Amino acid sequence: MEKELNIEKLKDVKFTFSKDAFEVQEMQCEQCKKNMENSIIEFHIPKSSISVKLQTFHCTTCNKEYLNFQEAKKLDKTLLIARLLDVDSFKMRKSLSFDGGNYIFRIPAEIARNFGKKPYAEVTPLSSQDLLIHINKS
Amino acid sequence: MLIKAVKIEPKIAVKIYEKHAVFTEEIEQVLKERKTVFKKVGGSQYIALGLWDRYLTIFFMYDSKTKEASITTAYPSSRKQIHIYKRLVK
Repeated sequence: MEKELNIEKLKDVKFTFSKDAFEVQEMQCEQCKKNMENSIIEFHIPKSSISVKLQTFHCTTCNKEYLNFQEAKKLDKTLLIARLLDVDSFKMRKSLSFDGGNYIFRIPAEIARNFGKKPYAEVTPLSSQDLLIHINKS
Repeated sequence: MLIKAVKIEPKIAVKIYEKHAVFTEEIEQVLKERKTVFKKVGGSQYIALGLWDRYLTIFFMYDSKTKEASITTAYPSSRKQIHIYKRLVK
């Protein structure tokens, strides 16, 4: 059995981040200690037919590839779209209540746990039967 | 310690999203948070516990020579980890 990590007993460390730490334009390979080359790749999202062009940092010696966080966010959006289009992904079936004029959809507490105080929903109609609901905090 | 660059392998970003539904945007915000707690796990591995929208636990490798950090995993913190975080930032 894997030993559980006792976080409290670990040594405290302080980190500070350079202003552009998440958007760097140069990287070094941690294995080969060489500067990595900038390259553009077509990254295929697994189990989908979607791909995205990403600017990566590529080590010509060990072939490792990294993204800065600017590019990683682009990948985030693509993963989100891929999940939206995936017919086999996790879905909830919920019945809609009717108050005489409007339909009411209840979001389970387990999902709403991180909504914070006074959340509101932005609803984007995609088609007559598809809605995209984005929860925002006030 | 100074971190000059934070990086992630594309396949790691995909794994984190598929396994834990955590976006790199959330990782960035948690790491930037003033109250985030950093601890040394061993070798060049570190853990960060923090809150932004939700509590996250982030593991990363830090190379003290290049001053670059590479994310290895991130997931929503367990109840126990949230409890520890709250106690540490008190």
